[in-house]
Amino acid sequence: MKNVRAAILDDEISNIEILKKVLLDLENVEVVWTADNLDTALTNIETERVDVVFMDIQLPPYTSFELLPKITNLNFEIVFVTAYQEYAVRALKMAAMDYILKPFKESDIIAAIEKVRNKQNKFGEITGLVKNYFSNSPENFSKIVVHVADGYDIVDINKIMYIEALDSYSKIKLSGNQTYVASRSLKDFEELLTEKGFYRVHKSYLINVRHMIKIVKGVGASIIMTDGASIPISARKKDVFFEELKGVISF
Amino acid sequence: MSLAIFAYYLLLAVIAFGVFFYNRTYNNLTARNKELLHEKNLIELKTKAFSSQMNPHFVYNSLSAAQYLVMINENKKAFNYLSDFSLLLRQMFENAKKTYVPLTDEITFVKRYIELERLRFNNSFTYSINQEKIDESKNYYIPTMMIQPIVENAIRHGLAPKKVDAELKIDFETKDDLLMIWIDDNGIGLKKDLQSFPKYENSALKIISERLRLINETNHRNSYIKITDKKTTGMDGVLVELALPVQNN
Repeated sequence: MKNVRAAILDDEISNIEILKKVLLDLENVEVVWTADNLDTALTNIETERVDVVFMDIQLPPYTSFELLPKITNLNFEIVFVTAYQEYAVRALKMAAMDYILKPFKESDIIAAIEKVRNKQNKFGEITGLVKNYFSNSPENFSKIVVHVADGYDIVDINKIMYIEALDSYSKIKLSGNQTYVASRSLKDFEELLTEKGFYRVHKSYLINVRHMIKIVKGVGASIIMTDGASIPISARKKDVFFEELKGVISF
Repeated sequence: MSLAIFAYYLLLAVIAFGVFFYNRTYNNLTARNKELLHEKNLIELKTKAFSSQMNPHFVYNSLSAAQYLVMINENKKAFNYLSDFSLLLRQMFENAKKTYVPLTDEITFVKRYIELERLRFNNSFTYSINQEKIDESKNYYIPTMMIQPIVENAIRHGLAPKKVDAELKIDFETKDDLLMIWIDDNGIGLKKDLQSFPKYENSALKIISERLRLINETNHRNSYIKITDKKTTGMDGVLVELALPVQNN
């Protein structure tokens, strides 16, 4: 059973304690940090990677909705735990994984942890490469294999839109809004995929040049992808990138 | 000739009767109108008093606090907490049926509420209630559920987030047919962005001022609520001045 690293944000110590106890009673669940205010939570989020943060919404004088935009790397699931049911819709729009009402039942928490655990399995590891069947050369692969909950997904690399760095992890974004999280660094993917038409435009992004549809020039230069995503080009790489592009574009 | 005079008097009589009858009906209708307006105000007051019952989230949060006490095996504390909480609920349901309640009852209610919140927030704030300036010879009645929502705001949005040296002071003073109440906290003060306030807490203060307006209209009183951010006077926290109508019974 996969280990789940959890964290708790609530302004009431008693709520933190009660949730902590319920979580620690579960198998393979760790409580990595707890915080009773937004600032502490933000510091913890930036230093300790977790799988899920259980957070209260009302944290006077703030709400935890104000915390989310400040997080640069939203690489964990959010489960709201609150006495206020009127926030549910907004919470779901913010892509919360679950919404639990206080006073909560132990089974609510167990269900949330299970959701986190299952999602983790699905966001599996890249376990291998599929060789191009028409060639015996391992360099000639066109697909990668991803370990998922119910087996293996075989992904055509042409369908990869871009890969984003999440600390030592990487998020692989496919066309059709499908996503995988792999426990390989972006540098690994860069080495693997540069020859396949991928380009590292930013320290956090490796893009598939096949999926570019627009290059926005200017101070904050960026690339628009076929799915509408806007990928920043780092200032340092901009000139080299444009130079190399010129070589490809012929008039 | 006599027929003309007779007709003349008859006409006068009819007019006089008509004027009299019109006046009587008019006066009756006006009185009835006023009565209806008064009744409407009373009904509205009752509804408003009812809708200003306690913040439902207080109930959920209190039950969570009880869960916590059970979980850490503080069984006796949990037992007492639930007893106090039940008393508070009982009083709230009782009061919701009335428009005016005895002042002493309302003070007990507020005190009980504060004690429960202190338990929930780990005694992170202190409080004092000063009733010396209440004329004890009189048996005052005040509108119900006017003080608690203000105290709740002071605790939840002022004192609890402050955590150290947080203090709540409530002072009472009777002035003619008004009861003056000052709810004074040294908490983190009013947040500019009221958007982030949950709907309920925003509307609690609105309901109070609406109720006071209706009372003033119906009973010709000068009750009011005044909220001051003490930052403007170089201090921390919020001061709420409440002038409530009193009835002697």
